[in-house]
Amino acid sequence: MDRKNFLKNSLGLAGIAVAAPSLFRSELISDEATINNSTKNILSCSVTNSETEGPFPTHTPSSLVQTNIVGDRTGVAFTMNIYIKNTNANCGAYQGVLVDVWHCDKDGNYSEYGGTQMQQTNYTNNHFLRGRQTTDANGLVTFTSIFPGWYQSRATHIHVHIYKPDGTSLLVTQIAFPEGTTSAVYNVNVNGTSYGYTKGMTGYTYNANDNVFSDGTSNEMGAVSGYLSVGYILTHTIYVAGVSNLGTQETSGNKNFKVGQNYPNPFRDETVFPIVLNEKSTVNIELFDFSGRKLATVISQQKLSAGKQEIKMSRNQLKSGMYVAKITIVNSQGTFKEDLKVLVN
Amino acid sequence: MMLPCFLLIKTKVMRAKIKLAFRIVIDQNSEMVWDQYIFEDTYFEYKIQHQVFDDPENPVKNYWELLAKNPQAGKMPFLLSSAVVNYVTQLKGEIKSLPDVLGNTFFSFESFKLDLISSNIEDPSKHKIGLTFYTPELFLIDIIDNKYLLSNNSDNKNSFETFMFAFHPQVSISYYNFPE
Repeated sequence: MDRKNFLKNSLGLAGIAVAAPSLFRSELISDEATINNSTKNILSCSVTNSETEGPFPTHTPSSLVQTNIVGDRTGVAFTMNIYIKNTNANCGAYQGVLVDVWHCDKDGNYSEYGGTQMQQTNYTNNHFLRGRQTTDANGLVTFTSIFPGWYQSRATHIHVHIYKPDGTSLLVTQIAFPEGTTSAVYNVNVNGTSYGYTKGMTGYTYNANDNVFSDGTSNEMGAVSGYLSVGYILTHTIYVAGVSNLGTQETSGNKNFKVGQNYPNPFRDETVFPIVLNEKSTVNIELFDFSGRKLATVISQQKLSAGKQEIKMSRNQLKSGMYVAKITIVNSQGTFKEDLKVLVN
Repeated sequence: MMLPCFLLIKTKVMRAKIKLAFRIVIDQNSEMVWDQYIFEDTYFEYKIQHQVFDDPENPVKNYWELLAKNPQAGKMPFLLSSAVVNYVTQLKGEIKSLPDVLGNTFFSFESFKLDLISSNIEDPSKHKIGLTFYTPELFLIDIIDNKYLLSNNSDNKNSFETFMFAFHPQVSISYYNFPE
């Protein structure tokens, strides 16, 4: 915006502001006088720029980076121990990845802006029950929180997002809770009224009817121990397909495809290999065990067209465990090989 | 020229409770260090959170596309605000670039809100956020010569400690409580 336009546009705002206290008697003032007067004011105002800076700003981490995520919430004490393991590194501890968790409070509410309303609370405590930690040498992150309540149509759950330090997502998942009259969920919601849990279990959505967990929770079920009086501890292990230590990529030209990690992984019944091809290619996928024995041919010398291809593999007779899928892609750029670690539950 | 204003003071005293709001926009071209830190950190946070709401089967790059496909992404401004909170704390509740007429009282705020204008996971030049700072409730006594005559004291008395803030293109009255 050039200076002339700036003055002209700003004048619009100032003009209105002048009119208001005069009870819209601006007709008493000639246009010329208004312009001169307002221009003067704008010029004196324009010295001030739009910066907010005080002296010496310092780089600070997100307010999410904290172990204690209780904020201003109350409830039954709850500790989360979440272990992250890398399926592409023999399911060893995955150090150095970021783990975000978030869950609802005892009444089933999440920390967020209240609709279009202005945030009325103090800016320092807008956030509750959300946190971020980096896994240690054991792949462990720990959060101090309160036991989550529940809300309509969902079973009790914790949201988890695991990603690499560069921000690339590894997995977005949820942790389910055990049920039954001896469970922490039951105990807290039925017997925890003195801690503020007032919903009981009437109308609760059980895992079997939950739209996220109803396809099975064997992967997602956390182990919960403890007592109402001392609080509960959740322990859970999450497997992600992280940075591979196989790395047996052979290239003889410019790579013009992308092989994604199969999903789900681990899987029980069926998994999908997503492959994006930039040109028509011949694709081979074979499954090996870790001793190098070939177990199955998923596809053999199949000619696939450019675009996103999804190759399905069913479990058949595979036992639970770890396998390697060797993918060979042949096209005008050369012959390419990539290995993926595949987990069967 | 001054006559209508003079008449106004004689005939009407405003005395309303108000809150002022001040909004800035931060993008890739922002030059102040504080703004740049916020740009970098909110953009990083955007790229993280985008993946939470995106559909891996049919991914999109722009915030507006994400919002159209998944209304849950409406939480994004709040989520990005977590990357800003600690920078806002460094301001210690005052916008130093907005002094009063005397130059020694500054625009004070008790809360802020982030709005996400646009973003794109691959193009940082599209990442633009707005930050709006809200003052505590102030007592607006009058507007004189394009300046708000304000007081922190809203007790119903006849004498006040006051200060004056000039109109500013980015400052607006965001809340108004009619006098009883």
